[in-house]
Amino acid sequence: MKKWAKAELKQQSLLSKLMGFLGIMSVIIGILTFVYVHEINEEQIEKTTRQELRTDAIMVSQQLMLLYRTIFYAYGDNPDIFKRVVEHVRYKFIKDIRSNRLFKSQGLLIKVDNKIQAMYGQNIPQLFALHNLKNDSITEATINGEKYYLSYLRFKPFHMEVIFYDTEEMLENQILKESMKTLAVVILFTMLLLTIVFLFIKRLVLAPISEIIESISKIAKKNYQYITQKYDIVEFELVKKYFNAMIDAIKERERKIHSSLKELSNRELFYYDLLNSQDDIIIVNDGKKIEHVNTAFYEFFQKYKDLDEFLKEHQCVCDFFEKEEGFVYKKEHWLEELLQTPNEIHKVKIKMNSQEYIFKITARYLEYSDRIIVILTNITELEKEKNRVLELNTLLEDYKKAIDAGIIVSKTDTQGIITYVNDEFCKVSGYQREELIGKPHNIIHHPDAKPELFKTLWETIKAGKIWKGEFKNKRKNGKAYHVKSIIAPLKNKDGEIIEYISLSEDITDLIEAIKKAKEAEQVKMLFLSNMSHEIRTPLNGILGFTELLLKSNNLPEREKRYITTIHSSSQALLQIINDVLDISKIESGHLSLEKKPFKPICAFKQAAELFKARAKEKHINYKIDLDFHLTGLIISDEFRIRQVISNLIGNAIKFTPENGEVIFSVKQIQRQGDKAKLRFSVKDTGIGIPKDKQKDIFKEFTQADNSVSRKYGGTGLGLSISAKIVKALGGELKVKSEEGKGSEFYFCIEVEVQDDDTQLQTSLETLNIALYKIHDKQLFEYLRKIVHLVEIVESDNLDNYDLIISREYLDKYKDKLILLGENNDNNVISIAENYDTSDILNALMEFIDKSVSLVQTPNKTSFLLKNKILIAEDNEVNQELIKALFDEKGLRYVIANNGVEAVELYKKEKFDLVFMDVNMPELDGVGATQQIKQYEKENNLPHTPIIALTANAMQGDKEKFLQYMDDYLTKPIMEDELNRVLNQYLSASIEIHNNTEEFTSYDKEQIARKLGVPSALFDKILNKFLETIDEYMDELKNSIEKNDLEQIYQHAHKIKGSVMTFHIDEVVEILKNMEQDARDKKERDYMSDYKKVQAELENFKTQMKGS
Amino acid sequence: MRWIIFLPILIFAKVIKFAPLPIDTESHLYKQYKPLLQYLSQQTGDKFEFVYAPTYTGLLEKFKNGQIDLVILGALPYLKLKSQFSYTKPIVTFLNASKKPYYTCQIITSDKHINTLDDINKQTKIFLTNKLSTCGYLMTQYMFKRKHKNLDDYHYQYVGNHIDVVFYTTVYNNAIGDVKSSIAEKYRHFIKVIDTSIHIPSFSLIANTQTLNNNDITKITTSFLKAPIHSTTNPKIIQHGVIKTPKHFYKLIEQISQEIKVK
Repeated sequence: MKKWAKAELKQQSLLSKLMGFLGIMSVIIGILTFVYVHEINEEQIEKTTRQELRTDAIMVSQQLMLLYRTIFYAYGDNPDIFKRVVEHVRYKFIKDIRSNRLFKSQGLLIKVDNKIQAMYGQNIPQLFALHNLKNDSITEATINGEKYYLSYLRFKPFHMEVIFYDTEEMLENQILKESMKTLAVVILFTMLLLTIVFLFIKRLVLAPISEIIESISKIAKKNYQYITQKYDIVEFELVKKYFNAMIDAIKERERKIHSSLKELSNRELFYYDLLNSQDDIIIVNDGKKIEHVNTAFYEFFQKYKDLDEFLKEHQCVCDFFEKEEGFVYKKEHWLEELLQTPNEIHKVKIKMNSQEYIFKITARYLEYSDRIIVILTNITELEKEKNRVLELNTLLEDYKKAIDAGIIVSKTDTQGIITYVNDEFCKVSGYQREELIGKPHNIIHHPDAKPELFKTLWETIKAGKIWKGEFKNKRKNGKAYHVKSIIAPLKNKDGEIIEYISLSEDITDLIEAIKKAKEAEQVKMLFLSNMSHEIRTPLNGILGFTELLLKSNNLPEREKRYITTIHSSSQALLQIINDVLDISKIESGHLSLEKKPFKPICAFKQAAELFKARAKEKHINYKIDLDFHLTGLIISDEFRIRQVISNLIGNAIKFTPENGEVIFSVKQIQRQGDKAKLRFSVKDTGIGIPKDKQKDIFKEFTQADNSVSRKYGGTGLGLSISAKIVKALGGELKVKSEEGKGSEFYFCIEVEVQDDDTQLQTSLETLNIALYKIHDKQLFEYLRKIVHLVEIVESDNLDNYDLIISREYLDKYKDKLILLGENNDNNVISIAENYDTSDILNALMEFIDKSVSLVQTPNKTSFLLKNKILIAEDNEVNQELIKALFDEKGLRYVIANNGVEAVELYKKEKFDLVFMDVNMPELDGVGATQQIKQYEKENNLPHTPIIALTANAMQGDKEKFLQYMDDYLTKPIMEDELNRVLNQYLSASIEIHNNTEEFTSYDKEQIARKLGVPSALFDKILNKFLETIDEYMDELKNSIEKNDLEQIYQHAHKIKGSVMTFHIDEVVEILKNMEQDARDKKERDYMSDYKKVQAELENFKTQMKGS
Repeated sequence: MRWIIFLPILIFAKVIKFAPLPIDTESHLYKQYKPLLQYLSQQTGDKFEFVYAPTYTGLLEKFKNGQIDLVILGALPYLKLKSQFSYTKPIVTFLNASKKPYYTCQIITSDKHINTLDDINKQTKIFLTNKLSTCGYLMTQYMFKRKHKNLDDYHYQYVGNHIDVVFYTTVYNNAIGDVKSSIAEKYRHFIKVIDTSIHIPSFSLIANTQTLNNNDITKITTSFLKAPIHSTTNPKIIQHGVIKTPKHFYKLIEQISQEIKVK
């Protein structure tokens, strides 16, 4: 053990002795304190005990008073309840006291009506019998020689007595506890004192000594550490001072030695590195003769083993230098020159093995020596690189010159401040370079330039991307110019953007040219519009009257033929006008699609069925094959798709010889979420198209062969228009064809699908079908997927089925029969024996159509006849035509010659529908419509539908008129379109009038017709609805009562789905609102809505049961 | 168009300022009395304005200053007002639930050892409502005097309201209290009545004869007597009906109050 450690132990031992003495003294003081405190406490604790007993009594008293007051105020005027409550509260109170000993007293006794109800503490039976206790005071009593302190409380209203007590023994225990506590505190205090003294001595004496000893011991380990601690004792401070001075002296000596050694080492290392350098050739010369060379020297001049061998042949390294202009070797005193111009670059050229090397040569005196060191650095590659850069630079300069000749170049810093512009920039902008540099780039921005453009530009280039676009800029003289620009960020080696460069082309002339072209286009469109109007108006007359004449039975055969020719020629002319208009729209980029939801099955079927008659005339086997998956709604441009379909089918029928075949099919080939891909195909067994002509057929005014045009007619625009429409719809019209065998025109487009309970689906899904003695697995499986029930039936009783598919003709069930195979009854629907699935679907659809049409026909004319129509038309020919058309339909109408007359007539009479020509003298159709609407508003009249009637058929016309009118008909008026309008608006007007009644009236047949199902089937659906709706309504009511918004939403949605089927429109609207609000978590009165729904449903049920 | 009825009132009417008892907040009282004041306006053709004074003292001061024309007061506050200001006239008195225009005070106890006032001693605790209450010092002292006792010789304390008097009387033995007979009746199962006072007039409508003339007073009296007494829109105080205040209705109580000074 070291001496200093022993000393420390000794020191500590002394301290321990001192501490021991102090400890003993503390214990003595503690005991004396204990005795003294014990004496004092006895008196004090008695006083405290009395106080505690009193406090407990007061606390209980206050609680009881509070409880009683509460009960008294609440039930005081009702004795029965009061008594019960008092007993209950008293019971509760006593229970609480028992379980929660919150009192300071040692014992407690509670008596109610002199019976003990609760107690704790020492069990003193005699205590119970005490009778001389004074209410609300403390009494002393001696029981079994033990002194008791008792606090007595009597609470009259509860008939309760409460006694808190403490015994003398408890008191003594208390005193002892208190005294022990005091003793413990004294001992703890003494120990604390001892610890403080110990720590103080340790800090003052032991710690400095230990530190000094430790520092001295470190010197031995060459760890020169100063003593930094500040000491309170002077002697220690002196020791510290001399010790630190000694450390300084040692350190200085060490530093000097180290420095010398380091210098020596460095020098040694330097020479070592020099001579072993692999990069440079080192030659050490005494001024005249080579003394030493490094490894690189031998490696370069491979033929010398060592220096001696070299010196045998050469005295100077310069012997190897190429003798060329510009190199140092030529100088006679090259070494001297090198030494004198250390900052200049000298080069030498050396040829080795027929290769040329360039070296940089430097020379300097070696330190502490008169020797010279010559260093040759190989810069051959560097020189080559330098030359390459120079060449590149020249090339860049050439580029720059070329760019400057025609491109506007500018650079800005990251803040958009111009840092560079080329001459072209100045030339185009009209500014001097000095006027631009340092200015923000927006100095040339034209006020018309859109701020969003610059926002996007900055976002792009700040993200490190290249921006391309066009600007409208402003010259110094204020005139505008247009540029097409590419702006790219320039980055430093760290990839940070430091500048932006803009390369622009002046496109002002181009813009001007486009503007002029657009103006010309507009003029052309206006011309076409006017021409279209002017040609359509007379055509309207021709087509209308020829149609009427053709319906006449009194016409001689020859005249009839002539009129047929006039009619078909006029139709062809109209088609040509339509095609020319379409092409002009497409060319001018005005072909816009009007996408809205529609039922594809109906739309495609209707479009395709128009050609049935023509196909039949040519004895063409014409098939329509539609995918069952298309029963939902799709969103696309129905009109344009129909246009393409019609064109393709029309062509197919036109180019297919008699007894040929044309198949139109639409298949859903892909479905992902609400997107579906449809494939449209029109396949024929027509003349086909030669391979070499197939590319050209989509071009305008082109047919496969000129002879085709002569033989089959047509403008050659149809396919071109169709191809362009398909392209606009996102597809591509393609053809597969073989000359003489036929063609298939097809395209695929993507549409958005909206799943909807369509009428067709509803009708199909409720059908019960019997396959009468048909064991056809394919048919069975297919039907099972799409109808409610399908069964193979052998029995002849087929009454319970909605539809029977049979190979046998069943006369009894002919109204609900579909024949599979041969069919001799034209009134019965049939499926060919070699059917495909779409044939089944077609047959089912046909069956549903037939059922509906049976229900529909009788009422149609009757409701039309009830209505009165106002027609505003200035053209007399058109007036006559409209008269003829309306007379034929038995419609009641009044004709106004202009807008003013129309408004006047409207004010005098009540009309159900108005046809309004747009171009009229005095007041045009739009003006008249506005006046009628204003009149309706002022007089609180229901709105009468107004249909625009015009020969204007240009782009945007429809949208323009629909801003004011309810619908739109183009002249010449097509009967189908007229029927559509009449059916839609006249029946609607009936519904509107019905709505004014207190309850809506429901017509079973009308609903069945709307639903598209036969009566028997409708009854079945209705019964199911009536069976379930009450239950649904109860569920809705419950959820409203519980205010469960999620459930309200779900039930309202469910009921809405059911009632929509029956067109209970008022209820649908209310349920829609409930559903929407509940989904949005809107708190509101749903019950009133529920009641409305309930009332209307009752009305519906009553009417349905009654009819 | 109903406002047209009030148009003449707005233009020509005399403004009569009415103040209720300050027993609730101003807004509550205004709400309670608004229909009554509208009724009176309709009946008399005068405009009745609601005046609120938060304290009895303030109320009496305003009456004396002519800022109040009509005020509802209990017997003791009325007598206090009358002693300071002679232009007062009780015009109608409101009936209580028993259809009586008066009430009595009763001495009660829950101590089985106390059956009459003679049974009390110096340790007996006496609980009273408040100084201005007729069943406070005035009637208690009156009943003590009838028994040749002096309330001041006993330990009495005010506890606030009638129910509290009953409450404290039931809590303590050797305790008595003085409450309205209607309250004593309500809590009869806890307590017993050991003495009953004279009849004390109920709340009356007091007219300021300095600001209102005989014609005004007659119109107002008639309107009150015709008022639909059961209307729930009326304030509670007049819901049991009113009578024209009898001429010497306050004489006895006035005499007693002059003899006994409330401490």
